[in-house]
Amino acid sequence: MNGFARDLRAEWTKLRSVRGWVLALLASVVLTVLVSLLAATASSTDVNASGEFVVGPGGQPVVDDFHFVHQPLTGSGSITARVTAQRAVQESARAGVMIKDGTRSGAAFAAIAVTPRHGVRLLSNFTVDRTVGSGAAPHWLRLARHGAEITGYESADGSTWSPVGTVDLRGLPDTVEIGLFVNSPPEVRLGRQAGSTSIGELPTKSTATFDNVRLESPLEPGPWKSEDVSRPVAKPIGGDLVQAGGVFTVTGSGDIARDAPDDDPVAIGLTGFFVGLMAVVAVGVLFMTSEYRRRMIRTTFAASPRRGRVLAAKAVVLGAVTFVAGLIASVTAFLVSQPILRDRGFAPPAFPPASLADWPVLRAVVGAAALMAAVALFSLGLGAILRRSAGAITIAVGLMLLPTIVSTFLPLPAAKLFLLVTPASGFAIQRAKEPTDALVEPWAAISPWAGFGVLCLYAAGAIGVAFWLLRRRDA
Amino acid sequence: MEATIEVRELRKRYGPTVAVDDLSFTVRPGQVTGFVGPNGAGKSTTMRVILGLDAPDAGTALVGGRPYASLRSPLREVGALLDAGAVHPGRRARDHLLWMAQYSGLPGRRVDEVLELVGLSSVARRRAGGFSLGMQQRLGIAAAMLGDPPVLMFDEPVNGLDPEGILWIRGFLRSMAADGRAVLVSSHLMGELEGSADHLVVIGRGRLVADTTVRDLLAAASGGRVVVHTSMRTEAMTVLANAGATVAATDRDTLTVSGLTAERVVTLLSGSGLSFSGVGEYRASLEEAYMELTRDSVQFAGSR
Amino acid sequence: MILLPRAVRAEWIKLRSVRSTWWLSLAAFAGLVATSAAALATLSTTHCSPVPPGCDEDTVRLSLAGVYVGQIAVLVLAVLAVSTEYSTRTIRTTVVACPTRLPVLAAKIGVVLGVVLCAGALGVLGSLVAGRVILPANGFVASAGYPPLSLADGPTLRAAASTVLYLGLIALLGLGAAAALRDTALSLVTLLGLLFAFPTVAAFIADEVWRDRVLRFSPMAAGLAAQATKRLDALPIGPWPGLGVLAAYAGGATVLGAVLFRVRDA
Repeated sequence: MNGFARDLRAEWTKLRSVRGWVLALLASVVLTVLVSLLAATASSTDVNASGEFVVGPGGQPVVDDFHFVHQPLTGSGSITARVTAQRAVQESARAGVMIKDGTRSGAAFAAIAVTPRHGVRLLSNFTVDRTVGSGAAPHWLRLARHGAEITGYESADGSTWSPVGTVDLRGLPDTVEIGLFVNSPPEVRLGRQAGSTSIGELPTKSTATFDNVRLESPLEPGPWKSEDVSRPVAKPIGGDLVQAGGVFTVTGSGDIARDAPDDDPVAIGLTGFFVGLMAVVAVGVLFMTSEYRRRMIRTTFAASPRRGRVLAAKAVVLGAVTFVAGLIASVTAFLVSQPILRDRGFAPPAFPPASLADWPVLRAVVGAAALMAAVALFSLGLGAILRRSAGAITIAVGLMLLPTIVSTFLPLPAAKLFLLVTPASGFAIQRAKEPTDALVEPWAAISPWAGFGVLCLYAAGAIGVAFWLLRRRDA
Repeated sequence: MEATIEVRELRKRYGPTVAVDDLSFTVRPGQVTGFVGPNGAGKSTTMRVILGLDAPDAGTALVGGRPYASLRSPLREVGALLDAGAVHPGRRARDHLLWMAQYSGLPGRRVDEVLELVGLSSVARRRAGGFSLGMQQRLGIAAAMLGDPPVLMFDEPVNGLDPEGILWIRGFLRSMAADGRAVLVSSHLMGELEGSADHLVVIGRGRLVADTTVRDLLAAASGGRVVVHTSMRTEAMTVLANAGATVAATDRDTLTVSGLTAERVVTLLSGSGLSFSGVGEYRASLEEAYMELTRDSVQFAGSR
Repeated sequence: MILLPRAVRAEWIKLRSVRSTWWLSLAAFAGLVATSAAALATLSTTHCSPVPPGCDEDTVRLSLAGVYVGQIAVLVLAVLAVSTEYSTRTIRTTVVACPTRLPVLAAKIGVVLGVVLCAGALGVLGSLVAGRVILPANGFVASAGYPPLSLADGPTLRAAASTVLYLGLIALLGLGAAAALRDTALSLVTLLGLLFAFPTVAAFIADEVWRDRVLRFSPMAAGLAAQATKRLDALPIGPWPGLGVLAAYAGGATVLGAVLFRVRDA
């Protein structure tokens, strides 16, 4: 291992002694930060003002649309009902009972409901949504409130009840609304329209019938009110209630869920990497091809007979240096761009402040640095395989940037597939949010690890082929 | 066109370094002019300025009385070999010469002729990347000869050649000069030019150190000294020194005497009854003469 | 003074005697046709949104999508035509053969453009042929509002011709930049960056006005605006002004390169 440490020192000396390469790495960091700054300054959004979402109890953006058949409840009490049938086109349509802090869209709530295929679910405050029992309609449901604690119960026959969970809605006022609800999330359809991929949301409706509705309340139960709870911008297809005898037929539409906008300020703040990585490609390629050009490689290999070791030393040194440079660039770009983006509309509640303490944000920022290093190693490998700098640079830059452009005008499914076979999919790691089909850039639709994994495969493959060729060829 | 190169008060600096300073000399036809100096003395710079590759800060460099850039078919007037390795490795030798010929309006036939001249006809269709150093040099010479020019300039033509190649070049240069051409050959090794140069321009630190014929230089360096071969060295030294000469023992049986003519030495030695096997004129080598001249202007010397 | 015809003949010998010229030309042609074919193959009328105006695909522009790949081969060809002279040191021999220097650059431009325009024209024709074959098979037929691709159609002819012209301007850009920068790696990285970075970064700019501003100055995005036959008002810049932007970049690079080449020590 002593020999390898010597190789490392030798390669480190080679790298830092060429002024042009050092300048290129510096330029890469500076360009990355500057372009990120530019992208941040030129971006703006008015999602907060658009009313596309409302603010949930935790301060996060949510959609809260459904049909509510309700009346007030003051103090402790409960509601019991049997859902006899549920007719829905969407798998996550829900029909059940709910306790809500008023009828404002986005207010705190707890609910227990049946779904067509996902069993009985307990929902609360847009953060809790879990399966608590199997079975679909017909099924018995109960919600009991005691102070701020709400417990859900379910039963198959109406006599044997099992509690399935308790949620604590802190700060719940004394008077709440309690009743039946039905919702049905819209259908998302991807298509082509006017020459580009279009995302359409088609509203859907679901109808459920309830009977054996019993409200236990300190006061005498009053008349049921039937109304749509919805965000100001939503136009739910009229939900309604038909009450005949003890049977309530409720029709509702809409979704009850968290709904973050698809734009990712963290990714916007890392845009500069598209530009910065080109200087890194050049350094990576030249770090290898410069040995061939001046026939130095004979000296290098003569001094270190195990050729693989030299390549390994180069890879370690280059990877470490570019990772550090990339980290400086990504952290700086992040810290500089986020305040700017906040001023441009990327602010709470639609965009909670991004902090490096959040794992997805940290993953994006460190991942961008790793992206830099992976691209550098990919270029190093190409340089060793092709031995001519022109070809290696062109192929590396081409494979990283061409797909990002070409994929934007292909249909989305084809675009994702195309990206996943090129190293350009690595850009997916810059996104802190979940993948989404709704943005114009297809690499936002790829899972970060999948995308980064493909890039790493390319880098490892290039180095691997280079290893093999170095051993076989004459220097 | 008169076959001459005239350099007058040439000055060229690169940044803070003055490469050539107030340099003036003339290269005449019919002889081989050696352009000699230590590494970094300014030889290559001078040649590049003559060929219009670099612009001088002051002074002029004329070929046949005209600046190089004004020549209509420059390759027909001046043939230069500056850097034999400056070939595209993927290009065939013949094509390499062909495009040069095109620039001066020379026919393709001429390319085949010069390839024949330097003995590369058999590899005309081979790509230049596969050429050995010697073949590259010869290709460079072929390029210089394309236009059958009256003026020839070679920068370090024997670099990397084997003894056979060096011999060939020497003969070649001499025959070019004998044709009446002006031939300028630069080198930093004096030994190369021994036997091929007639005239020498010696340059050091960008300045002219000597502009003279080889014979005069050798004579000056020899300094009229006398070489004596004798087995009775000590005695001979005493005798000669007493006569006022400066004597140095240069070898086991050899003395070098300055201050006396050869005749006087013979008289003195015979008069003292000392035997000797030979007395003759000391002939300095070009190497020695050169070292003497440029001792002060060596720019990059290792430690002794 | 060196006559231009001599310079052109000499530079043509230089260009044709190097292997990279031929396979880069082939790569340009193949890149054009294959990429266009692949892009067209991913389209299908089955994904068309039922909401009017429906797909309204710009089939002409998509069938010329190969230019994104073809231009890389063209760029490398143009850059190498100048930069390898520096890396092999033959530039000195060239300048010695032609001391007035400018005819060298002019001749290089002439011969490289000749090769590029030929390969480009053939590639564009090939792409359109591919379009005529693939599109109907994917449902884009006349009855759906997509007549077969034809150069008799004005907008199609403009899109095709401007694609070839685009490739020529890219070559000019490469030649000029390489003459100014002299180094292969630096030239390629700078030019590829200049071309590809703009649109990629613009995609992240959420503000429409700013995005269009950036794209207007992007040599690639502006230069390829002329490929569009539909939704011309949605483009960041008009077709001919767009080519003008690219021409400005190419012209600027050429002038800079020519001046530096003439004035600098070789």
